Amino acid sequence: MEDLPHHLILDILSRLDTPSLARTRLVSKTLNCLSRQVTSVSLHWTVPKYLSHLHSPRGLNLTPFKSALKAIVLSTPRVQRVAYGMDCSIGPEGFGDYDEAEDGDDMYMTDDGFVGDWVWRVRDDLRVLKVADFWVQSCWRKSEILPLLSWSCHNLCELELKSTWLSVEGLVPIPSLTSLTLDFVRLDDENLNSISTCFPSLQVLNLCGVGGLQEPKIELAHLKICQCSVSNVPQSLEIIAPNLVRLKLQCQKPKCLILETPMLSEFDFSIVQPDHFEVKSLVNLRSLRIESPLLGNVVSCFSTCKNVEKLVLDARSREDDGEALDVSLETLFESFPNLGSLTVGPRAWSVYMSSYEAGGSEGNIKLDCPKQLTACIPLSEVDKALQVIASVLNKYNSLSDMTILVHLRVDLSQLNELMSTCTAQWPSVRWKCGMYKEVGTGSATSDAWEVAWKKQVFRGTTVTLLVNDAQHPN
Amino acid sequence: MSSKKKVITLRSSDGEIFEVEEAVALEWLTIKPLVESGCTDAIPLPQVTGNILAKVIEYCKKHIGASESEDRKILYELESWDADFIKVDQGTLFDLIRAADYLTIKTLFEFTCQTVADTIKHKTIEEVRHIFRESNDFTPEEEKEIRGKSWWLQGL
Repeated sequence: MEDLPHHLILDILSRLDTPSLARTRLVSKTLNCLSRQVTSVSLHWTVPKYLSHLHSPRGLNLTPFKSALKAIVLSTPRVQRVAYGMDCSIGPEGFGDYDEAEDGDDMYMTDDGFVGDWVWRVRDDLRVLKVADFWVQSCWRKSEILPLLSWSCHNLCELELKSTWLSVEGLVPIPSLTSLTLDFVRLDDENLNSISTCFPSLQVLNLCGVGGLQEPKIELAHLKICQCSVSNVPQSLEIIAPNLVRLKLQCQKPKCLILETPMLSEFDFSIVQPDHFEVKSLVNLRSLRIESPLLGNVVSCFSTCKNVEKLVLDARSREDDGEALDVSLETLFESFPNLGSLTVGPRAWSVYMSSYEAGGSEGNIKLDCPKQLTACIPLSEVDKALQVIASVLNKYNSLSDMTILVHLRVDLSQLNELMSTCTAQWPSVRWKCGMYKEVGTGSATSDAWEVAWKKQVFRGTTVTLLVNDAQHPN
Repeated sequence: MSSKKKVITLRSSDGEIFEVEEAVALEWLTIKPLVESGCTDAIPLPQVTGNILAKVIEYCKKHIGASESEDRKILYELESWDADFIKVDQGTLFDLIRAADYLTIKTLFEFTCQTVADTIKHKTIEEVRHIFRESNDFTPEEEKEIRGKSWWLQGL
């Protein structure tokens, strides 16, 4: 073995968080020297660490977070990347009692006064900034961090801000910025005018749980990837992005929803009330996922998108009555003539498929249909599943790949029984079976699910499970 | 078009001959131009020994196509395969990093470097010395000075 060349050691050191990096300085002169060339800073605290610091001043003798961060940034030459903040994935309710912390600003990360204290020193080199704030301290005051960065950092490319309240007053353009992520943020830019005008080069825009929007209009010429979850409040949403390729959009009941995105090829769309939604010529749309309580209504909106190859349908529980259009396999396959694969989620299966019956005499006619069908069959529908599968296969005999996923709580012997009948009755179909499980997204109305395990099955074989299969991690 | 997949021949520093599918070789940016030019001779790789090249090929064959998969099951399997693959001694791990760097294989380079970084995070200074085969060449005064500069590390 030879020693690693220095440029490779440097690459490894650049991946360390700053406290670990600081420790490696004591290894040897060589590493000390190399560590000084690392241009990224990464410092994070966790809530438990902060609380123990807060409650036992003698126990954990920590340097205050902000002083530590400032010292690190100021002692690191040519800093290009700064990531810091509070590591916490839960919302503010999940924290418990913070009376003591609430009034303080010791963990107020987007504090413009604090950021202004060190950002001048790194302004020419800074390319990436990621700040995760402590909601308890940031929610009740407006931060001027966006304007501050726009005046000072002319080479900033990527910005990510979490859990804070942002003002846009005085914001000036940052043409260098190509990626912006705002997560769990209150934004004082109700129509996104400032964002659109001041960040004209954005290629990636993620707005997750952004509050304070009224009639947001995203108008960005270079945008390629966009993720947007809009709460109940916005009246309308407009996305005008001639180069947008991938879009994930979650909204409730917008009065008006307009997409002018001719290049869109992947669309993940979750909507409660699609009354005023129109799609114009998404000729490039290949992959579409729809999640809605009114699936039929949403599907009909996409009637002009003839090139969809991959479709995933997830229903959601209905909240109120309204005219719901039915969605049948016939209409689906007619709407999307190029469909190669269709996935029906658990709730969509029980709402739309459980009563599926094939038309009587059409049994022998070869009807156009996709090649692959993946069906998620919920607990309550397993008994009836064979009947439905039979109706589908008798009508659509060009289906060549069937995947049957049952809920994780369904007994394996029941699945085996179903699969042995299927493989015997339709031997020319390639069968796969498996189980799915629900995944919590925090929102009670969502029906998110994922594959727990999946296997190919052949005639006359039974599926047995390995330990790993059932313990699939997130 | 012939359905037979095009095969590229490679020769390691110790003269071992390997054959890989063209699709795999195209991921190696260093030799990509040669592959694209339709080179049919064995491509010499004087900086990589046969046993390391075998590991590199094993990794790339497993990963081609699979990394982009959206199937969580496949990704999970790949992850546990990776975990087994990387259970090698320190010397082999460094050889893999150097090979990935030399051949410009982004996925393998990322994976191996990140593995070393993750290891270092949980090691003592003495253990890190051992990993990089460094020895403590500081005088007590120098060491004290470095510790002084990292005063903010207190309690972390």
